[in-house]
Amino acid sequence: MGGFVVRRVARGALTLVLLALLVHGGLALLPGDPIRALFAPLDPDPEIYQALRDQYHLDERWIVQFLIYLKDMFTGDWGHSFPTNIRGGALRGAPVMDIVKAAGPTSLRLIVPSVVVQLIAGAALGTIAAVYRGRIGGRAVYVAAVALLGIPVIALAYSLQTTFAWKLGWVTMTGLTGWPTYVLPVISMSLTTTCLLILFARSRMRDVLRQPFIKTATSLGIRKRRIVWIHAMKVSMASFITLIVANIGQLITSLIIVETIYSIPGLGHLLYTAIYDRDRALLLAMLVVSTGFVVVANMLADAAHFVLDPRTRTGDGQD
Amino acid sequence: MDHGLEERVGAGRRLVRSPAFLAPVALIFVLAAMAVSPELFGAGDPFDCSLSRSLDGPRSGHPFGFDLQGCDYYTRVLNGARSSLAVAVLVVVLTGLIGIVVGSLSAMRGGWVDAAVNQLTDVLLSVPLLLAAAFVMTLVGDRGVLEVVVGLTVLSWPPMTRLVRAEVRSLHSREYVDAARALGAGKMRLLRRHILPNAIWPILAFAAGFTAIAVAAEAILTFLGAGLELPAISWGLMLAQARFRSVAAPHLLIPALFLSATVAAFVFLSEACRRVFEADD
Repeated sequence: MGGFVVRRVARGALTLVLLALLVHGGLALLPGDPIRALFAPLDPDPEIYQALRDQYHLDERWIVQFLIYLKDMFTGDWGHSFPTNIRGGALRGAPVMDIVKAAGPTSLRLIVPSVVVQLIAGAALGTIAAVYRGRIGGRAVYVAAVALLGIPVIALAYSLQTTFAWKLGWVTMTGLTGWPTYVLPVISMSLTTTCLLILFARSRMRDVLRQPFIKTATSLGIRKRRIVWIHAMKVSMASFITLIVANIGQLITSLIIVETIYSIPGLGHLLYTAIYDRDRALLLAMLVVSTGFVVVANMLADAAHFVLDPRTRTGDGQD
Repeated sequence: MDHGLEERVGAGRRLVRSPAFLAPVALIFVLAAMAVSPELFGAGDPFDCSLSRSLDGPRSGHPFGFDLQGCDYYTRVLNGARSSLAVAVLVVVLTGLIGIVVGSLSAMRGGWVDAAVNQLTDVLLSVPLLLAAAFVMTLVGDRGVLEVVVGLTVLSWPPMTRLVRAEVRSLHSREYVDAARALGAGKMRLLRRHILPNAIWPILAFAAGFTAIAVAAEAILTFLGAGLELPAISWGLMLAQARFRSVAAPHLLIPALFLSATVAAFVFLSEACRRVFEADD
């Protein structure tokens, strides 16, 4: 187990360092002076110009800059957003860490219920589709999942908002105030990955239910319902979690769209404004930080495999 | 459970005659015709606009009403199919070519080439696509179809490469490939004649599914202000305009319907192709 953890953490760290290298190296290769570009088309005050060059260590050698950058990322200094009044003499905007701390909880209030809905609805409906695959109910779940997979989050969020908030007036159109206002944003955020998980769980469950240990359990006289929902589910759960983690990119995209359309002031909405303000510093910092989260989440998913599915522990049971 | 290779050929023949395949293909044909020539469907001049009818609802001769600038929305929406499909098809063709070349090379050569490709794809697969694309695109001024295609391709080639690599590796060790090798077939011949043709259905299924993702990605990127720019005609731009206005003018959301129909067509096509190589009823 010790070896597994060390190897996995080393792989994750290597991925992050390589990403930092790609980003940092790529940006260093861009032509032009980044500080002058900030002030374009005006010329910066020489004193402010030098202060900014010092602040970003631009006079150091590239490798030194890169190492400082790595150190800062790992110690929680995630950089600053562009100063909104740089021409007024402000040298830096708000630290990205502060921004994440301020807007993060709002986004978490959408992310956590969405992931829970994805996992429960996806696993349950996918299992139903697998168990009743020849029958009308199973087919209906399958076809519905494929059809709903075709609705991009942008279309879904708009149509739900227009239909239920505006036409029917059941909930307010924007913001998060009280639990009914969570319903539409959470559905919009979960649908795509839920459908993916239904399709995945359907074929996964079918394969698991054909395995010898299921036959053993059946011959021992354990009820079918118990076999499917306890024994088969336990073996499959780790792979379901892996699928959800593999779709974090989709979750982040959905977060940006849903918070924008429903005017919810979280990280996604912030990214939307950052794109419009051309706040590249904030965008880049958020990109690197969220990649860090993806890498950590992948490690946790592997750990879940390790705990839930004993076959992976020998290293040869992986599918 | 996988079909064997022999069953795949039969399943492939059956597929191309089945409604699960023909229905999405027919829809894609209609959308493609729309993209090539919107006039066929009665679209007028997309730049014939008049502010006096800004946001007016549907009326006779103008079934979808008018947009903010008072342009005929039916014409605009039909024209939107062009940039949507152009971006998606180009991205899929390019990532497909990269995937087949790099994936095959990685699988056939092994060694450090394989390790390097694996490590690079590992990094890119951890990066959230839309966020990365939004960042890269803000570095580019004057974004047209070409810029969006290059941006999306550079960031999204790893999944196809991984798929091709896995397929080639698994077919590479089959007996029939060993037989061909024993008969003196070179690596290129093995790949072209014996390996890639048998990987065609998984690659097609993935390509169709990825087209769906690319269509949605273009619309979302453009909606966020990091994709195509005015005066381009794109469903993403139309949906951005609908923000805060969809209450007063719900017809502004019609592009969402076309967007969903396009994505759904490719999702269904992908599912149909998948059933050829995975025994599934």
